Formats: sequence, C-alpha cells, structure tokens
Amino acid sequence: MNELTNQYWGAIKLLAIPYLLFLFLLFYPIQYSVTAPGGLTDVDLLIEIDEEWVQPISGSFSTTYVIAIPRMTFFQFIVGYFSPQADIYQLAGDNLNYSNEEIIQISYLDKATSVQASVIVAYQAAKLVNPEIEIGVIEKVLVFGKATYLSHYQDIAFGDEFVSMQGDNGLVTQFEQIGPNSALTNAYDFTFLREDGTQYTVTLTKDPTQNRFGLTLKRYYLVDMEQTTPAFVEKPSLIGGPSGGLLQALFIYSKLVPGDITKGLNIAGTGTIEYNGNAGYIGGVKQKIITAYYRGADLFFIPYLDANYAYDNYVEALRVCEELGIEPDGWLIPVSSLQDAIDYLEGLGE
Amino acid sequence: MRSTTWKGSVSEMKEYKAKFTRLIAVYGYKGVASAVLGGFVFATLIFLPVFIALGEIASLYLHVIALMSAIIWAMSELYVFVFSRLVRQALVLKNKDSGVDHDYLFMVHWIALSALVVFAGLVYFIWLMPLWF
Repeated sequence: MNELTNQYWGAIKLLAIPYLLFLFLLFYPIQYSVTAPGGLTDVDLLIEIDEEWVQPISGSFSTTYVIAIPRMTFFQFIVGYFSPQADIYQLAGDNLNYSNEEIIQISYLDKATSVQASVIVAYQAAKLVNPEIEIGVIEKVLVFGKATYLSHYQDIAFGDEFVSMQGDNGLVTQFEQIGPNSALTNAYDFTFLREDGTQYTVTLTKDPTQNRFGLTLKRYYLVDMEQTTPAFVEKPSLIGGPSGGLLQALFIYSKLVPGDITKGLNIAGTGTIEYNGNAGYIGGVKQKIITAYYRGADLFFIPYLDANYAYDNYVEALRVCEELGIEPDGWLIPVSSLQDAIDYLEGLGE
Repeated sequence: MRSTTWKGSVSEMKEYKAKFTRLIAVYGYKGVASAVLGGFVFATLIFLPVFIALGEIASLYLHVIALMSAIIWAMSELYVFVFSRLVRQALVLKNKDSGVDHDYLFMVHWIALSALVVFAGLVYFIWLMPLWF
C-alpha cells in the first residue's frame, strides 16, 4: 500500500482537487428534475386475480414507466441536457418543498390508489358481461399533501386516513365540513388512521398568515375486498405514479371476460383511469413513446381528450412520432376511456 | 489426447503452485495482503467515480439498458485488469530483485478474476436482465 502511495504521490496531489470536484458533480443534488425513457412493466406481474376466474390471453398488457429523478445531480443535469430523449424541469410547486423520499411516497400512494381505481372500473365493465362478478367500494379520505407550515408535519404521513375532527359544532367526519367547522379558534384535534390500523389524534394549528392547517385531503374509492368477487392481489412494485391506470384496467378486464381481446399482441400504453372509466392525462409523453417503441410494443394507447389543447397527450405524441420518424397509424391509438380501448381491441381484425 | 491435456494441466498447476509458494516465501502473507489492499484501494479510487458516473448515465438511458450494461461490464473488466496490475506493481516496488515471476502470477490472477467478471456478466445478461427490465 505504502509503495503505491509513494510511487503516485505526485499524481495524487495533482489530481486531488479535480477528483473531489468530479465527486461533487456526481453527488450534489440540484433543484431540477429529469424525465428520461424507462421501460415496460407487464401488468401480469403487478395484479393477480383468483385463477379460477381468469380467462387465458395470448398477448400481454404493459404499463410504461419513465425515469423521473426529482433532484438530480450536476452530472445528471449535464448528461440530461445533451440527451435528446430526456427533459429537464426546474422543480416547482409542492415538489420544491418535498424531500425526494416524500415525492417517492406520494408516487407510491398514486400507484396504490390507481390500482384500486383500475380494479373498480374493470370489474364494473366486466360485470356487464359476467353478472357473477361483484365489486364492493369503500370511500376513504386520505392525506395527499402537506404544506411546510403544517403543525405535526412529521407525525402525519401521506396516505393516512382522515377519521374525524373535533369541530366548532361537534365531531366532523366529512372532510368538506372541516372549513365551516373550524372558524372559532386556531387549533383543532384531528384523528387519523394509519395503514397498519393505528389511530392517532393530533392538534393542528392554523398558520396565521395562510389561515390554513396546511393539509391536503383527497377522496378515494377503494375496493372492499369482502364484497368483491373474484379476489385479487396487488403484488409489490418499485414503480410509482398513477399513469398505469388505463392499462391496468384493460388487463383486469381482459382477464375477466371470455374471448381474447389481446389477439396475441404486446399492448402497451399510458393514461390514468378515473372512477367513471375515463382516461386522464399523464406527463412524460415523449419518454413513454420512446420507451414503448424501443421495447417493441405492438400498439400504444394514449389519452386523447381535447383536440384543441396543444398539450393533449395524443396531440403531443403525434409531434413526438413525427420528430422520431415513427409511423403513428395503427401503432399510436388515441382513447378517451377504458371502453374506447376495449372497443378498439375487440374491433381488431374485423 | 485427453491424457496429454490432463498431464499439461497438472504440470501448469504445479508450476503455478511453485511460483505462488515462492511469492509467499519472499513477501510473506502480510506483504502480499498489503499489496492486494493497495491495489484494491487505488483501483477503487480510480474507478469509483467512473462507475457512479456510468450508473447516472445509465439511469437516463434505461431504454438502451443492454448497451449501458455492456459498457459497465467492460469497465468491470478494466477495473480487474488495473487492480491486478497495481498489485503486481506494489509487489515489484517492495522488492525489485525478488526473483518472483510477477508477470506469470499477474497473468494467472488477472485471467481468474476476469473469468469471474465474465461469469457474473453472463448471469446478469441471461438471467437477471430479462427479469428486471
């Protein structure tokens, strides 16, 4: 060891500063995020339905994920800047205040609730074909956002369920009633329920300048497993975000109804799913198109909700296809709902 | 033919064992361990930023993950080469007139470590990569 140190001591002294500078570029996070092409995830690996009910399909359904790094390093910024496939954004809004871990927690919450929405929508659609299918739904109000001025910031986690608030006129269990029932004082007792079943109460104080508690609650509809047939299991996944909703719903539907709607194709796509079955916009259109094209998807579903909107996902995707020299006809399929996608697949080959 | 190959292998093994025994006799276990540690520390210091940089580049080029993996694989081979070379150099610097066949031992150790990296790469490409991506 000493012999090598003595031999290279001159070089070590000369290169120490550039070396440390390069390490700084590699590790120092900056307030920019990057979106880059990712991969396809076979939905079969994510959702498992009671096999007694499952219909065989010859093709596959894949959601498309992109790489989103909330606070990239200087080095990634330089690489991303020169990469034609990547897009760089300055962090803004809530994401600026959240840590990387919190952004990941939110994306996992988005993923979990999107799977639940997919199951609800797909089971409802499949029930029209097979009335033996049952879907039970429960409503929950979950913590979706936290402002920096939220008191008990560390005690409240994303995804915790709002149970009640001790309001001016008694116990409030409907979250719309929080505002009208919290006008007399600045501090109120809120009760939440953790995913592990732990219930806790914290006293939240309104921020004097904002006159708000700093808590964002959102209503979700989740599957009531006891009222649902067939049973299903959501398998663990490292991929977050809600953009797989449409394809997840398509996969579940295809597994529950007779007749193989995949026709042996490797079907990919993107789009959130709403509780009424409509598709919703997603981000990272360019990267998702590149991913699906490179990974050899046979067709790609994309939300098309407003032809006049310049940033409509389909309109943007057409621009990307033109830029990359991809022929969109027959590959890029615009849809506005789950039913649109089902109709398209059922019509294939006719 | 089979017998000749077998005899050749045994003879090579004997040659390696004799040269390795001579290495230990000249430098002692402590001296060899110090050279290995030196080689490891210096090779790692050189390659750590390279691997981190490649990992960060790969995270932005995941759609060509096979190409990125191949580059990282090739870089691992280079790391093993530099490590083996530095170990050899540390031993030579310790004792220039040791009479140990450093080139032979370097070659054998480098080929053995290189084969391990090739094996790890094949496991990754054939088994793990289709599973993960």
